[in-house]
Amino acid sequence: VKFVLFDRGGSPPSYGVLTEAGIVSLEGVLEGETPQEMLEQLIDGFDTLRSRLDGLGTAASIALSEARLLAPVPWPGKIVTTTAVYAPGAADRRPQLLATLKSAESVTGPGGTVRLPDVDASWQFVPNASLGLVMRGPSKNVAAEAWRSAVFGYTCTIDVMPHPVTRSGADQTVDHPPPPSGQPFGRDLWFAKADTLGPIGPCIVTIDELPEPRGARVRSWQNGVPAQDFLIGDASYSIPEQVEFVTTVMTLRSGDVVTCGTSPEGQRPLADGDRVEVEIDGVGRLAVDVVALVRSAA
Amino acid sequence: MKLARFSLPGEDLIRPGVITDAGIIDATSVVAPARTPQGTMETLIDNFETLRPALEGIASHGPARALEEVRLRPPIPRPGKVMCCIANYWEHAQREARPLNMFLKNPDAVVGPGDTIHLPNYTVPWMFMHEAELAIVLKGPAHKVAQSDWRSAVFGYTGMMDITGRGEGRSTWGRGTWLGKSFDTFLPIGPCITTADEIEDPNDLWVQFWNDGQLRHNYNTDDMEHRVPELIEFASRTLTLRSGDLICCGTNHEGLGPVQDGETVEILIHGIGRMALKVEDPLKRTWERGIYMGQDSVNHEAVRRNRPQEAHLLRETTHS
Repeated sequence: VKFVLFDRGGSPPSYGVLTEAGIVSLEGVLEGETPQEMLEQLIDGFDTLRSRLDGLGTAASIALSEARLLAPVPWPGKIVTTTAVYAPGAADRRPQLLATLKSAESVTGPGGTVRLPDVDASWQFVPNASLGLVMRGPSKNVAAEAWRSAVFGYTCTIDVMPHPVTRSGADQTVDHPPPPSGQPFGRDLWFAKADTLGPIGPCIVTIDELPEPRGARVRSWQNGVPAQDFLIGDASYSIPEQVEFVTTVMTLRSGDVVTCGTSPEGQRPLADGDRVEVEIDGVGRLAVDVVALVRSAA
Repeated sequence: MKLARFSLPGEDLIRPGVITDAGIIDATSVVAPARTPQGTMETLIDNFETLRPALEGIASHGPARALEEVRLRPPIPRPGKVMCCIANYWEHAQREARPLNMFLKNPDAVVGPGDTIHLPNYTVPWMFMHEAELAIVLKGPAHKVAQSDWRSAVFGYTGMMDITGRGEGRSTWGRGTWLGKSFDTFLPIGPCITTADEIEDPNDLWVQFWNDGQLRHNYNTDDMEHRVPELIEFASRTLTLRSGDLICCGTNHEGLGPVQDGETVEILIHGIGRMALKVEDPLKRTWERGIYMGQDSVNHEAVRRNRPQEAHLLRETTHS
């Protein structure tokens, strides 16, 4: 099942099932005062709700053109970004897996705007395409082989990360490849947490539709030009290992998001007016626009 | 005013309360429950000026229970964000200020007075340590707050322990990610929120911390490298601050030390209150008790012992 969060013409946000015919609204099916509460109810009650979903039919579907899609995880309790990297053979030379935290303030949805923070010109920002896991919890100390018990579904995410400008300002070259430290972009920087730097969407695909994600291909485009292109199966740490690691440290709750790292190759620094798109096989395509605030004098 | 959450013996129900010299007074009749415990506290923060007369009324007339008769709970049960300063105390050394920097700590790791800090069943970090900190309870939404306007984003203050897994020496495990600070139960906060009007200057507070009665941290927040108004400005330039979010001001590392199985750790911030927790370790690891005196310790005695060439930079320590 593919779930979307949408609104139309100023109506309150509602979850819906995405079908060939459009969106089948779940308005009235889910309770909860905020969309995130509705999502948590959807995740926790999915097994029971599933039979009702089958009975909804598609007769009353809403055309995608009439709806505005919103971030399908609108206010996650936690966003955990792992340092997994994707490259052929990455699993053979892997350093300690680690992770950093973002907050719900990072979230922006399909068609949303990434607002690059106003930092000095020694920093630029790059968009990292990542597979996002929408978690089911509470999940703690989940063994790798049981990883599916902790995952409700998948989404596309973009981790917009600061990166130091390493050559002259005119030469907008990212310092690639990353050090083999397992931290693709070096340091956990405070302004990586800024509002809007974590786009999510366009939908949540339940895990039963992609029970084995190893074959999934993650691609991105910047202004229509291909950027990143990698296979989930080329991860330094597999998705099951990532779930095990994160839940060794902390309890994950329903509606939390784990972003599963990225490839060091292909992403380019962002500029005002850019468009970034990320597509993951079987999940969908997420597109966002970039606004760069005026840079302070360095 | 000192605001708290508490439960009565044998009850799971958590009640809002006001702490006075007479004890704790149940504020259930004034503070309406929201759908979540955190929502209740956020609503209280947002409506505090309206609720204040009624709270003051029950504080002076309501029946008070002795604090020993109730169980205090974390005053902010599940902050939306926990923003923590990296370093941020001079530690009585004469040097250039370091640039202000922050990280995010796992907001689901909250525990409170009387709770237990559980060290993880995970052996990659070499040691776990305590840090005692002043935490600012925020009022929002607030974005791009000027230093001069810092009080507009502050609701009050509470105590906080930044429990930390170490990689090597006193550097946080997970170099560059601060992950060693985000294990479950590594975020004790409490015992109460002292509202901002009762604390004229958050950079003049005396912070003490004991481990099994042994004094470890003992510092005044006047030693803060980047002071509270600057912290508000810095954090709000990057993130929208919301009611019930926390900014933790960092610790003075002179009193750093290990936490281990069976110990009781206690923080006292004068003007806020005292909170004690137990420590449990399923692996029963042991480290030398006492203040951390390793090669990279900033404890003055350790500096004189390990790095005598830096001893002339140390300034006299004042406490209260």
